Amino acid sequence: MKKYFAVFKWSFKMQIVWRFDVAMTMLATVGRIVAAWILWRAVYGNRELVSGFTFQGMLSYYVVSSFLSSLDMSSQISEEISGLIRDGGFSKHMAVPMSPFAFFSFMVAGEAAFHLWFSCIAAVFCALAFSISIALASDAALMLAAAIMIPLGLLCMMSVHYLLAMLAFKFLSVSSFLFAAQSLTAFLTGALVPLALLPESVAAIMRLFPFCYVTYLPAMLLTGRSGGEALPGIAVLACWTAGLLALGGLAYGKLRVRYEGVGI
Amino acid sequence: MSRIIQTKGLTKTYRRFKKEAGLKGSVKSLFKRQFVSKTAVSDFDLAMEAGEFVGLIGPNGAGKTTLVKMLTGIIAPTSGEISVLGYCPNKLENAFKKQYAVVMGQKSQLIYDMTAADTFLLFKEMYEIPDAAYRRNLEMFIGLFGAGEYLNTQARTLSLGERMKMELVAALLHNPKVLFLDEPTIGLDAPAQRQIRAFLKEVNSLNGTTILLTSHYMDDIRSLCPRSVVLSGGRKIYDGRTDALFASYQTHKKVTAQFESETAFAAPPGCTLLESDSHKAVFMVPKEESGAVLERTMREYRLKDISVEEEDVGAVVEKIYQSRGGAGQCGAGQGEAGESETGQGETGQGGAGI
Repeated sequence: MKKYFAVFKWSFKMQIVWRFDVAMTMLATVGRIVAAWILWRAVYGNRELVSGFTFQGMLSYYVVSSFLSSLDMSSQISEEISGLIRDGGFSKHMAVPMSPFAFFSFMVAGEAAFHLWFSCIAAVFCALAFSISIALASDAALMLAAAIMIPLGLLCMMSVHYLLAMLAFKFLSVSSFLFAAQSLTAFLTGALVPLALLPESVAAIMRLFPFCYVTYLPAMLLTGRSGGEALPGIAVLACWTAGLLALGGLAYGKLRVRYEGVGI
Repeated sequence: MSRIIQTKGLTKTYRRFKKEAGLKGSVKSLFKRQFVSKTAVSDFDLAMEAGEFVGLIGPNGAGKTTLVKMLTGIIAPTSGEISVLGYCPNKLENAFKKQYAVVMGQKSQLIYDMTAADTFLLFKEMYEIPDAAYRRNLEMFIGLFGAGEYLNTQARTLSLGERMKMELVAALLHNPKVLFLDEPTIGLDAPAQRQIRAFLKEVNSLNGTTILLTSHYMDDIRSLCPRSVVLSGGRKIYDGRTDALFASYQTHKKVTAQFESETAFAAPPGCTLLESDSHKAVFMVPKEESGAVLERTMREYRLKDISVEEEDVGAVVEKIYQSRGGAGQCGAGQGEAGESETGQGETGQGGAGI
């Protein structure tokens, strides 16, 4: 476990090498919260409720879900690994005693930890400077369910992207796969629109896939809603994660023999 | 001594995407894809004992890097048997990976935005090196290079020579039993090359590390490796003592003479003129006559400068190849002879880097 934590620490350290980038990350988070406040203020106008959300509830959902979606940096796994496979840089990951999935997962987790930490600082700043308050759930069971679902969801997304990256061993260029996957997941995770706003039949289908449990449901749980969906959600997510992890391992074992380590 | 590396009939064939130049060629290849096969390593046998320091020589495209990639498990062989430390490398078992290290002169293990010390700490955990062993090794290797001042410097700001020293330290921290070095001195100046050679000699003799070194520089091979293996066109054409190799095949020296004024130069008897103009002449001289020829040249011409070089790896390989009954040009062009049309397919990894 220590070696995985070392990758996590290294990745976190990498995020704070460049001070300008750190400052911009914080500014971007503050900007996003303020922009959401202005946008939803305009949408609500004099109305009390929109689709069952109060203004504060909607703003809280938006802020929490955008935090959660910014924590999901799993797309870096597919982009980075496929690039390395293409240009031969993946060789060094085959030569070190650590599985590539573990290495890249902890690397991404280190980056996510950086964003979480600095986003929290930015959120506190917003709360103090602009009196924007975020209403989180007071129910411990909901918080616990969210605390289980968030890392499980991130792990699931890492498995999806790892599996996509493995296709680079066969196709070399996987940008079309990545584009399709990213467009689909941005919608299915509920990062763009709360899934509660979609028709029930569509939402029912989405509940069978893992994506709505990555951002949407944890955000709802954290803001005190959808408690009934927590347990089925965790079960669906766990099944998908286990399946995807197994499939990713299988794909690596089968496809890596095609690797040629070009350029070295 | 125990056997560390054993290969039998090792062969690697790459499949390369091929297309005609221009837009028409690109459109055609969209519908009808052509591939060629290239055999990078063919029917290669090798046995290395513990503690050996073996040089792998060959011109570009000879298959040296492909061989190293197969021995480290990075790529899978097309056919043949391979065993390193008793493991099948391409199974990529962690127990195997902890016992070897590979340094590629043109690829870095260091993390560019971090300091070398940070990379070493990461390696310490990845290889699960005990604290005491880590401190001892770091101190020893940094001491051998006298490179303490680079430890806390961002890797991206290191010079090529400084970076290579740090790469070698990173590779050796976990006390590997086998070290694969692919062109570790490429692009380095003479003092840095000498320092790295001295370091490798020390590592081999102090730790008994088995080392397989590929290099274009004859000086690397001659000063470090008692045994050499020569590759040409993917095939082994020599495996034996390095001193015997050079005595038998490095029979000439290349002399470059620059004149102070316009000079009509005539090549001395027994020498071959390679290049000549009014101010410069380049010629090959038989090794045993080089002293006399140099003396005569300096006496007969007003020289501005004169330099003497050993025959390069390509010339030596050419001679071995010809002495074994090979015909025609060997070396870089040899690889092309190994190519064959293989028709069409869905996809394939192109441009094999060998």
